[in-house]
Amino acid sequence: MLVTLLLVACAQQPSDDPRQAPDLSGEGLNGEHIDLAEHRGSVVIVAAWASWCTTCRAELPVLSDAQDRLGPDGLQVIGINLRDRAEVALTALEQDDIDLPSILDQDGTISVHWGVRGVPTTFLVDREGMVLEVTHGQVTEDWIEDVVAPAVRDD
Amino acid sequence: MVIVGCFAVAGLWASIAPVSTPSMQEQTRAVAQTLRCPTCIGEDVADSASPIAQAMRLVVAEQLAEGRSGDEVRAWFADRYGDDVLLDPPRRGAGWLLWLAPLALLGMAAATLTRRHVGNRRALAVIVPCAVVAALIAVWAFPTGHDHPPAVETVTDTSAIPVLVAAVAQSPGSAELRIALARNLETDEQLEEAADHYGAAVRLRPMDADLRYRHAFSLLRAGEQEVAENALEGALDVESEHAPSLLLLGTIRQYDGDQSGEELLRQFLEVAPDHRNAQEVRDWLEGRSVPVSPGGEQ
Repeated sequence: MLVTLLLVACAQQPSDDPRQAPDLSGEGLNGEHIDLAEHRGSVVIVAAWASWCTTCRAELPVLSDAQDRLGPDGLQVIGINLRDRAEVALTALEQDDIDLPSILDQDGTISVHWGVRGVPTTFLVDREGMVLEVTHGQVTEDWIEDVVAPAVRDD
Repeated sequence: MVIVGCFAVAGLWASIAPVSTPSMQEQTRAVAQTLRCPTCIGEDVADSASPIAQAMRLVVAEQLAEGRSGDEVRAWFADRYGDDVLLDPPRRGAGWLLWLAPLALLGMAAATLTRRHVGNRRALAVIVPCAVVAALIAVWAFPTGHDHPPAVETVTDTSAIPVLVAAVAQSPGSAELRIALARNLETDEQLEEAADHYGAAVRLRPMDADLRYRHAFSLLRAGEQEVAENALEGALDVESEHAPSLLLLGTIRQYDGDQSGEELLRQFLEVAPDHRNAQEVRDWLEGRSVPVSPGGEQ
């Protein structure tokens, strides 16, 4: 019944060209300081997730496995924990036996700076700090093998 | 259709009201209304309850406070989310539509009333209470955990109830109308009916933690404590740090001797340390006082 004026502009998506990753630094779930800039030179997966998100929980083992397999070649996985509580998020990681350093984003503004629409959303950042790809929804082992691994090994 | 006219009146009145410097909150809302919620289809960022929309509102406020213009803020969001995050006006600008739409709706409402009540002057008298309803709805706000409840909490006109009942019957899928009716029913002490309409609104807007809290509160007032607790758990499922829900559910359980109540109240103190009830809660947890029960009895 409310007058809602939804006049849609041309639906242009963000450019697919690589772009500089936004700043990403802050307090981690264990109180540690995490800064994406400290991982310049590594390929980084930035994964926005939340303990209350079931598909996020489902992809955590995939990300953890990628870290284990490709970490020696220069892959780092960093989480953005969206609108969650640190202790709840840590419990979720412990339940799944996952080690995922994650920056607390309790008010969601970090996620907005990254253009997150919902969770899970995953960004692939190259060694120069450029965002190569954005994936909305759960990532899979195929994605790791077909997209991430080449980015790590090509460098 | 009468309520359509009411909203049109409210919109037209707002657009011809004397111009004053908008507050930062008003500026934030104005910009947020021009952004599409990336998560919830069909909603703008100003009204969406999604976590991302809530965060976007914070970013809008931050950027406006830094001195950026509305256009610069919109450009910033378009850069990150694409142009489809913008709700752009047509060629003649949104201002024209804000004028045209209410006039069009008022015309439609008037035409409908005229067709249905030819020669009946009492039909026109509906417009007067409708203006009251419209004014109330225009300043509608939910309890959001802020320290000061909105003024509309104590300003309701129960003569609007029949109008709202008719409007809900016409548009049962409108959460806004359900909420407006529920509030008026609460004021009129029709507590069970109010709770029913809040419940219907929750089914229409399941991700709104404030609304779930409001539903729970009405259930509690209606004597439905167990159902109220379930409703509060639902609010916390949606928003784990929803301070009012933590406070109310924690109070209920603590009062009932349920140990989980203390944990909830400590979480409340963690997320809202400056809340107007925070010291009372601290005193209670430390054994320095016994609070009033959630039902209002001592």
